[in-house]
Amino acid sequence: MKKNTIYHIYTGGALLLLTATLFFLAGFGKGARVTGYAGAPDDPRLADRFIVDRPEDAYRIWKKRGYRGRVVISFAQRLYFVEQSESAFIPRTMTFPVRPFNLSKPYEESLYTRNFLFVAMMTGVAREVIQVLPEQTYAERLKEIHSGEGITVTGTRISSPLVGSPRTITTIPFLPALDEPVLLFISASFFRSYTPEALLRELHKAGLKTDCVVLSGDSLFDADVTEEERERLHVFAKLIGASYGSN
Amino acid sequence: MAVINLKWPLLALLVLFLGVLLRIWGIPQQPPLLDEVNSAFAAINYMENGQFGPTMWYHPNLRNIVLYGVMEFFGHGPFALRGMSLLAGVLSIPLTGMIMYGLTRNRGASLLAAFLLAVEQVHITFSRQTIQETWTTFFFLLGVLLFIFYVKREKPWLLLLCGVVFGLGMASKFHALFPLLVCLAAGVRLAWKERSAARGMFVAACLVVVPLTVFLLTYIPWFGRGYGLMDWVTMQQALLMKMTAHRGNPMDQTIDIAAWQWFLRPMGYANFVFHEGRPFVTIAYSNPLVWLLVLPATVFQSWLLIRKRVAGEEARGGLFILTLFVVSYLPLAVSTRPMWLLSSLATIPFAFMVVALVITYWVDKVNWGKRALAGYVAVVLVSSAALYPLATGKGKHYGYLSSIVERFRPAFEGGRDDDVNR
Repeated sequence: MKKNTIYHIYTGGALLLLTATLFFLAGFGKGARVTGYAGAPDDPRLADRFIVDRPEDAYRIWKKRGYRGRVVISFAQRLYFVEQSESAFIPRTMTFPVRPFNLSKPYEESLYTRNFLFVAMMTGVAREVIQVLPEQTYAERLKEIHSGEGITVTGTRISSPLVGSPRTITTIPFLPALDEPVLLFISASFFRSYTPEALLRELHKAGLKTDCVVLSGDSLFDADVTEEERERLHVFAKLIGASYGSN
Repeated sequence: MAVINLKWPLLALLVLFLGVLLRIWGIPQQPPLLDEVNSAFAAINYMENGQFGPTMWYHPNLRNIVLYGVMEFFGHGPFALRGMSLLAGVLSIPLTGMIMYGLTRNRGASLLAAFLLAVEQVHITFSRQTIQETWTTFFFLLGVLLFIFYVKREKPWLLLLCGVVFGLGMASKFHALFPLLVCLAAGVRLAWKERSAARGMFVAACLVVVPLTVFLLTYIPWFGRGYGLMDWVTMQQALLMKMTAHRGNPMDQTIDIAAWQWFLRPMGYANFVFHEGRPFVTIAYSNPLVWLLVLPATVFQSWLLIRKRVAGEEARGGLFILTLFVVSYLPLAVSTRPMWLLSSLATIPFAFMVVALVITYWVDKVNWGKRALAGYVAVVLVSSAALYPLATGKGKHYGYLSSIVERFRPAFEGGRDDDVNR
C-alpha cells in the first residue's frame, strides 16, 4: 500500500476516534443527569413543588428524588456555601495500610443550613450552582470579594468554581440563559427586595424551566428573615401552587 | 565466532540495579505522607463520585484512575500506593539511556545520563512517593523514545503509539506537553522536508488528535457527573487559572520556590509527617555536582552545535536533546508563580543528557579523560550516597545533613494565611 494511503488511513482513523469520543462523552454526560417533568415554576403539571422550614431540607428532597448532575439556582440573601475541608473527614494516618473511603457520606453527614449548596455540589446532586442575590446584597459582596486564585469578578458576575465545578454569584438581570431544567431554590429572604409577582415575572422572562421548586421559609434558623418576607414567600407559593408536603 | 561485548549491557544492568535498590530500600518503613493519604482518597473520590480532590485537584486524573485500580487489586499498603511511582521511576532510567543512544549512538554518554538519573536524589525521593511527577517523566520519556523509533524505522504505528503515550503523560501532568511539542515540531519538519502534506497531517493526527483523545477519555468519571463538552472546556480554563495563579497551600514550604534557580544552587523540597511521636522528614535535595553543570553544559553544547564542532548524527541528536531541555525548562524558569522542586522532574532527564553529552565530548578530547570520568562518577556516587538518607527520612540522624534538614524547619512551624477571598 502506498505510504500516503497509509498516512490517510491513520489520520482518518484518529479523527474518527476523536469524533466518536466527543459524541460518547457528550451523550454519557447528558445521560448522567437525572431529571423529571420540567416546566415553568407555575406549571400545574410540575410534580415537585415544596415548602420547607429549613433550607437544608432542599438537599434532602433532591437526594430523595434521586436528582443528580443538575444545575441548581438559588435565590436568597445568603450563599449557603460554607465550605468544609476534607481534612476534617480524613483521619490522620501515620502508618500503612491507609484506609480511604468515599467522601460523599461524611459530606452528607456534615449537612446544615449554611452549607447545603456546598454539600449538593460535593455529593454530585449539583454539577453547577448559580446563586442569585438581590442587587444590594450582590453589591455588598463585590466589596468583600476580589479576583484571586481561581476567582473571577466582573460587574455582573462572580465566578468562583469549586474544585473545577462551576459556581456563579449574580443578580436576576444577569441570570444566564439555560437550555435545561434546573433545580430551583427560593428563600424567603430573597423577598426582602422583590415581591412575589415581580420574581415570578423575572423567572418567566428568563425562560427558566424547572422540575423541582423548593421554597424555604427559613423559619427555624434565620432570625434575619422577617414575617413579611415569609408572608411574601407564601404568596409566591400560592402563585405557583406549592404547599407544605409533596404535591 | 563473534565475541559478544557484554561490557555495556552489564554496565547498564548495574546502573538499573542501583536505581532499583535506591528507590525501593526501606519503602515499607517510610510512613505515608499526607499527600499520599489524600491521593488514595482522591482516587476513590474521582472514580466513584467523578469529583476532583482532596489533593492536587487541578492536575489531570490518570493517577486517580490507576491508583484506584491498583488499590482494588493490591490493597492499600506501601507498595500498592507507591508501586506505580516506583515502576515509573525505575523505568525512566533505561529510557533516558535509550533516548541518548537512539539520538547519538554514544554508549558512554547514554550510560552516564542513565547513571546520573539513577542516583539522582530528587528523582529517587519522588519515585518513593504516591505522586504523579515520576509518572509524567516516564510517559514523556517513553513518548520521545517512540518518536525516535518512528523517525528511524518509518513505521506509522510507532507514531500512533507515541501519541497514546504522550496522551497518558498529559493525563498525568501538563509538563508532558513540552516534549510533545518538540516531537510535533520535529515530525512536521520532516514532513515539510519531504513536501508531504499527507505525512504532515498524519503527524498532527498522531501527536495532537490522539493525545487529546486519550486525555479526554480520562475524564469519563467527571463527565459522569452530568457535564457536557462545553463544561469540560470551562473546567479546563478554571484549572488552568488555578494552576497559573497557585501560590501554594498553607503548609507548603516558602523557600526554594524559583525554578530559575534550580541549576544555580542546591535546592530542596521537604515533606513532613509525625511518625511514632516524632517528625519524619523526607527531603528531595539536588546534587550540586550534577545540577550546577547543567547550564554551563547547555551553553557549551550550544556553542559546539553553532560552531559545527560536532557533525552528523551526533549533531542532530545533540540538537534534539538540547531543544528538549530548553523547551521543557524555559516555561518553568520564567514562570512567576512558585515552582517547587518536584516540577524539576519535567526537565532533569534532558538536563542530565546534556551534561553527559558534554562530559563525554571532553573525555574523548583529553588524554586523561577516562580517568577524570571515572573520578567524576565516583564523586557523584559518593555525594549521592551522602544525600540518600534525606530521601528515606533519616536525614536528621546524620550530623552533616543537619544544616539541610534545619533549613526546612520553618516550613512546618508556620503556614501562610488562608486565601480570604472565599
